[in-house]
Amino acid sequence: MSGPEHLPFDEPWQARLFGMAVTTCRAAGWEWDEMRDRLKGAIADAPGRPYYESVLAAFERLLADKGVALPA
Amino acid sequence: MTDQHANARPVAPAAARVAALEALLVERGVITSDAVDAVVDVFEHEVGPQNGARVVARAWMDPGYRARLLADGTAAIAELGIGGAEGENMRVVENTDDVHNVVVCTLCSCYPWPVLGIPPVWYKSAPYRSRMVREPRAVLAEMGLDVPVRKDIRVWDSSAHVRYLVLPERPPGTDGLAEDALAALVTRDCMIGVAVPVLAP
Repeated sequence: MSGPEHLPFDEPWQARLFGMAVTTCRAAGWEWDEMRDRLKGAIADAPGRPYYESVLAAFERLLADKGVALPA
Repeated sequence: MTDQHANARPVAPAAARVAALEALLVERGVITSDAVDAVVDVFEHEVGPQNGARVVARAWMDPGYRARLLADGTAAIAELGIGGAEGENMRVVENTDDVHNVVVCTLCSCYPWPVLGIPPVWYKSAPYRSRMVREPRAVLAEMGLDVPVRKDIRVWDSSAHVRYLVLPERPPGTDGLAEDALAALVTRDCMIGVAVPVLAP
């Protein structure tokens, strides 16, 4: 596995976000489908938005829906 | 534009929002930063298309394995010690003389992590997701793959329920190659179906 075409993330925050979403779902016992459903919604809401910004919006929505208060 | 910017509530850049979320989740005891590090490390260094390439090379070498792979992708992939989240329901679709297969996720970015890692940027783009279903031959040509007109193109829409992996045709001239050398010919794009393996000159 070598070469830039295999690097899955363009920027460090994207890796952090992805890792955090996976870790949080595992730790909290939430099905990944709950994250996926919100990602579909976030992409449909803003089709032109960069992918990982939609992931971020979806993760924030998931946390809010689960009652995790977010920083203002 | 200027007015909209002036009126909009400022939104912190994504990197800052992500850092704030991590700090919050750690403070609440939901996650640890070490656990996040471990997940990121796995996806950056261990899980990736080299796993799928091993599966394809084994199928090319071993007809019995190939038959098991096409019959029950998840179980046959697990034979090689590969599996995990987002790889629970794998279906392997085989390219032949008559059929070329290509995979898309029209709704978001469903993708078989254990065999291919994290999807590339273009896989998650709106044009790829919307156009591949409607005009696959044109999209593939734009991506550098001219599929012979005699071949049907089958487009598989990945979902939460089924993840697809394309089993490409073994290129001619590779009879003497060992499994590792065969695996080296199999790129991520070959297993999504937007490229085919070629023997380097």
